[in-house]
This record gives sequence, structure tokens and C-alpha cells, in this order.
Amino acid sequence: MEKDEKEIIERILGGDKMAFGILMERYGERVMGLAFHFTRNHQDAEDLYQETFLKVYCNLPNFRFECELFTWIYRIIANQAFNLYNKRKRMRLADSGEDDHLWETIPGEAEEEADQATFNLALRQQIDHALRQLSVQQRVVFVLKHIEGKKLKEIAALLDCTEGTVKRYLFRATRKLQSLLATT
Amino acid sequence: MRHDKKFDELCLLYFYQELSEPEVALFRKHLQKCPICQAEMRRLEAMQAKMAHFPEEKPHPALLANLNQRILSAIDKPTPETVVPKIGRWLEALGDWVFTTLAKPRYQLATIAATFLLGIVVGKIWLSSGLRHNPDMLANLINYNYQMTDTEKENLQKVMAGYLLRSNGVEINDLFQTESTPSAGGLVEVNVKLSKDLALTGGLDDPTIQSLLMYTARQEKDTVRRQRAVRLLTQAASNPAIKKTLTAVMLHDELERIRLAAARSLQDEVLDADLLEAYKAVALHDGSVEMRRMAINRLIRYESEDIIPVLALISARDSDENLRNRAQGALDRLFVKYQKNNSRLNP
Repeated sequence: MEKDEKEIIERILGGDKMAFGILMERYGERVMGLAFHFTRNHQDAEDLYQETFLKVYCNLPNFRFECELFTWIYRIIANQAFNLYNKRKRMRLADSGEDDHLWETIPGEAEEEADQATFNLALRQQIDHALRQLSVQQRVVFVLKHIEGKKLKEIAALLDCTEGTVKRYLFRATRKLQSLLATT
Repeated sequence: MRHDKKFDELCLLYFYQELSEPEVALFRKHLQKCPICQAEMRRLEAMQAKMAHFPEEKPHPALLANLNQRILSAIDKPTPETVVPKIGRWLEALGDWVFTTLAKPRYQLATIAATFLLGIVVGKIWLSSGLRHNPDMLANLINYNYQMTDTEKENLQKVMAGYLLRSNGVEINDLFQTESTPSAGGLVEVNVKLSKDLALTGGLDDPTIQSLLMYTARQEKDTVRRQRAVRLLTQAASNPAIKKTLTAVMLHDELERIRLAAARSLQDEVLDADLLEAYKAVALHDGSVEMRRMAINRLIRYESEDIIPVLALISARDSDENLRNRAQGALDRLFVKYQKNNSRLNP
């Protein structure tokens, strides 16, 4: 853990709430990126972002400095994603984001030529649709593996489950995505 | 090369670079010769190629700044909470915790066991509550295992009979009124044939007794018992099920005297749409003059435009001259009445 990070945490624990702002600025973009990947919905991602940081603030006194801070935040965001999913399922809500205009799309690596824009838009929609078809557990595991590049062991530790369980979710997610993306 | 199912998993793990070195060597050797795994690898690579086109979604810095500000405000100014929302929040947090914990695969067995135990506890509470005295509660039959009082035995018998009645597993042996009183509470005994005879005792207001009587009135082959059931039903306080049963008897029973008994008992009932249709059918099609007369009289009392076509048909083609005349007279009165009404409305 970086020295200044430890200092920031100690400042927060000492009652300096503005130090928490520094922490959010440092990790905000990564947390929001994960939140969007987990939820595939802007409004939910924003809710998840806020809930995650509030949880981080409340639970910071329990942080034992045994792992990287962001690893600990990962665990919180994954659990909050499951909570949010259960809450949404109970409330049957799937609102689109109010602030959609405040999100911008960064082109993928392969999107180099302008005449590919239409093709990429369709592909993006297809991928987005496919990811939405996954259960929240499958999506979280797939994102952590495929996009974040985590090892199965790390994912298991993050999600507090066995490696076998992670494998099962990853395999199901991969199979589902393979079949959904194979249509074009 | 023979493709074994274990290579399906190895193939995915190889793709995700999760295999140890010896496993990689083993799988590569297999991959060179296995067309199934080669095809699977091609599919996985195609999926990855598509995912590479997937653009990231990046929030605008203004959005993050806004959200961070909101979070800091929430931290800075904790809103004073009354007790109720606080409890609500605790319950919500508890619910979330329970959901996320129980959803974990490793707790699945524990969840099933906990659900089972909860079921037993709830069942026990249910059975030990006053609800077991309700004859409608078939649940009483389950796990009911202690020395019952006479009342409880009676209730259990009624529940059993009610259940068997609904599943067509019962035959009525005999039924009679053990205590005749003018009130609806006179005792009725219905002997039900199961594997052994079962005697039920209950007032006419007892739902099980009522069910047995309704069943007897509709299904019993013995005409005496059928008629007795209809007569007893006419004594019971009317409810929609009884009314429906008596209507069915009035329409379909093969014996005139039973149909008449049912029709008489319905004379004072409110003439709703179903009963009106039933009376029309009887007035037009019943083979008994007495039944038709009773139905025509009831329809005439109704004095509505709805019955004009029926009365017209009866006045034209009923085999009994008296009924034809009665229908014609009623028609004439109705015409006069409606002419007066019309002239009042359009002077």
C-alpha cells in the first residue's frame, strides 16, 4: 500500500471527511467503470457508485490494511452489486439513467475507421444485450476475469466464495455469451 | 483423438490462461489432434475478437464530481432520522444481508434446511392455533398427532368428509334431521360411506354439512335422500353456493317433485341474471305444467322488458291453454305499461 494512501485513510479515520474526497477522486473512475460493467445501466451504476463509497466510508474503521485498499473496495462493490440486483428484482425497477448525457463512449481498440461506426454501434448493442442476459453473478465474474483480468483465485477471494463456484459462473457466462454473440 | 469431457473445462481454462504449465503442455498436445477443441478455441477467439470492439463507457468528470459532492454531503450532514425509517433501514439491510448470504452457493444446503425448519415451525404454530378448529382447514390433517377432544374429532371428521367430497371419494349412505327446529340451526346427520361409515353431526349453518347437502342434492341417486337434501337446503340460510345448487336442481333434476321443491325455495330469492335465465329456461322447456306455471308466475312478477320475448313464445306455443292465456294477459299488461311510460316520456 502506498504511503500517502495510508495517510489518507488515517486522516479519514481521524475525522477529516474531506480526505475522503481525495480517495473518491483517486478511485472514482475505476469504481464507476466497474459499477457500469456490473449493472449495464447508467442509473444503477450511479446508485451503486454512491452506495459503494458510503459503505467504504462507514466500514473504513474495519479496514485492516491486510490487502490493497482497492481490493477491499472491489469486494464492497461486488457485494453492493448483488444487493442492488436483489433490491431491483424485488422492486422490479429498471429505470434508465437521468444523466445519460453525462456518459461518453470511448471507442474500442478496433474502432479505427469512421466508416466502421455503424457496424460497431450494432456490435456494441449486441454485446450490451448479451451482457444483460447474464445473471448478476455471471456478469460480475465475467467482468472481473475478462475485463479486469483477475485470476480465478483472486475473484474467489473478492467474492468470498470457492474457486469452483467462480469457474462455474465464468463457464456459464462464457457459454451464454458465445451463443448470443455467435448470431452475427 | 478421442475427445473427453474434461477437455471442455481445460479448453476454457486454457483460453483464460488459468492452467498450470504441465496442464498447458497436456492440453496443447490434445489440441493439435482434437477437432472439437480446435473448433471451441476458434469460437472463444471469435467471442474475444468481438469483445475487443466493445467500447468502454466513461462517466463525464462533472458527473463524478457531482456524485462525490453528494456523498460528501451525505457524510457531512447525516439527516436526523425518526425511529420508523431507522427500523426500516435496518430491516432493509438485514434483508439484503440475508439475500446475499443465502444466495451464495455454499449456503444453498443450509438455506434449504433453514426453509424446511421454518416450514415445520410455522406449521406447528398454525396447528396449535385456534385455526385448527376451522372445518375448512385441511391442513389440520397434516402432522396432527395427539389425543383429540371430542370437538376436535368432530371437526377432523368434517374436514375429512369435506376433502373426500371435493375429490369425489365419498358416498352418502343416509341423511336425516335429528332435531327439527324452525330455525336454521336444526341438527342434521349425514352418513357418509368411506372405507367405514362416518356420521357427521352439525347445524345447517355448518359449511361441511352444507357441502354434503349440496352434493347430495345434485349427485345422490336415491330420490328420497335427494329430496330430503333439497328440503334441508331450503331451510338453511341462503348463500350463493346453495342458491346455485338449488337452481341446478330446479333445472336438471329428473323428478318433478324435487324440481318443484327447489323452485319453491327459490321463489323469494333475488332474481339475478343467472336465476332469471334459469326461470326462462324452465318456463319454456320444462315438461311439467306445474313447473312452467311457477316459472311464468315468477317471471311475470319481475315485470321487465326482458321477459317479453319469453312470454310471447309461451303465449304462442305452450301446450297448456291456461298458461298461454296467462302469458298473453301478462304481455298485454306489459304493453299497456310500456305504452303509458312512453307517452309520459314523449307527450
